[in-house]
Amino acid sequence: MSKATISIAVHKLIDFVVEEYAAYYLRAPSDAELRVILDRNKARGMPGCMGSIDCSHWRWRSCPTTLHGQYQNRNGYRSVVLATLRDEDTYVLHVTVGAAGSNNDVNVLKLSPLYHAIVAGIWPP
Amino acid sequence: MTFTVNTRPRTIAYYIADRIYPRYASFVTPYPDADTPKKRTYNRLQEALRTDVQRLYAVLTGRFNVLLHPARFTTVEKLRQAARAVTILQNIMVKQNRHGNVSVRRVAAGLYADVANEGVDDGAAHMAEAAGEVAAGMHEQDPDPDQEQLVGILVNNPVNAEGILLQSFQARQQALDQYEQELSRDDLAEHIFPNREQLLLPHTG
Repeated sequence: MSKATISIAVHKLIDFVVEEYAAYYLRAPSDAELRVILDRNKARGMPGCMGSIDCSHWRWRSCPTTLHGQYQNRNGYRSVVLATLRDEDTYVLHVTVGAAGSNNDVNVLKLSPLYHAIVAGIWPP
Repeated sequence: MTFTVNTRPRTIAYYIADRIYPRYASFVTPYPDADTPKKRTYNRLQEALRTDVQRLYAVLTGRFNVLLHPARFTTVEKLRQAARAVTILQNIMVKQNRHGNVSVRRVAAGLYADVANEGVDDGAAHMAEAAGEVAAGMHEQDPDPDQEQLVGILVNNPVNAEGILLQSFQARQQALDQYEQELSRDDLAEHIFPNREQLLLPHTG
């Protein structure tokens, strides 16, 4: 197949996966699930722990030149930041993508919907 | 939701974060200056749990080459969509073989040992029983996507329970309380220290 066809197919697949499964596989944990997570973390010595949060950079090769300033991170390449939150099976409970690479973890956190839910008292229940 | 740490009842569940995260009650960070055995033990366990989940980025890049190579998407929106798709696929995989993962085997040594074995060995009846016993949620049997009542908390309830400004301020203050965070950390350190051998066992050696 030609490059163009593959590119179109990849985008279609991505859109399909997100539309089809995002409602079930990428959402805040329900009460029952949260209880399981809390139980398991209690057994590991951290009662009340819902998971762990961290950031990572994803290198962006075709970053437009206009955005180089914003997206250049401290290691000198352009990237977007993935901030994720997960339980111990690497099951992802929350993901925020798209913060510019020049942000540090704290700024990325403050951009994420999770932080706003926390400070608004919506989450955790 | 309430739980007890070091005989003190608490209500704010938290996430484990590393040291550059701000001191909010919802994030538990390691001690910056661990000078007592208690603090060091706490830091060790916290680090162990954190590292255990830092595997995610390695697992993701191992499974999905798209994250390993520099992205060729042209807009941030496409990047975001791609990363979400990858995350969803990862979640599907994890749900499929939750029992095969290392961390599950580690945990199974403790809490879920008998239940998990029973469920795997003896078929559906035990499975259902065990699932009812331990967790109707995701550990034993994942419910059918269509039948489970989805609680989209972050989406469906954009305001807090009371929905008034004073409540919002209080919630904000509670979530961002630095003193609360230090208290919670101290309590956890106290909680971990007496059982340190057992708790650290899966992470050492």
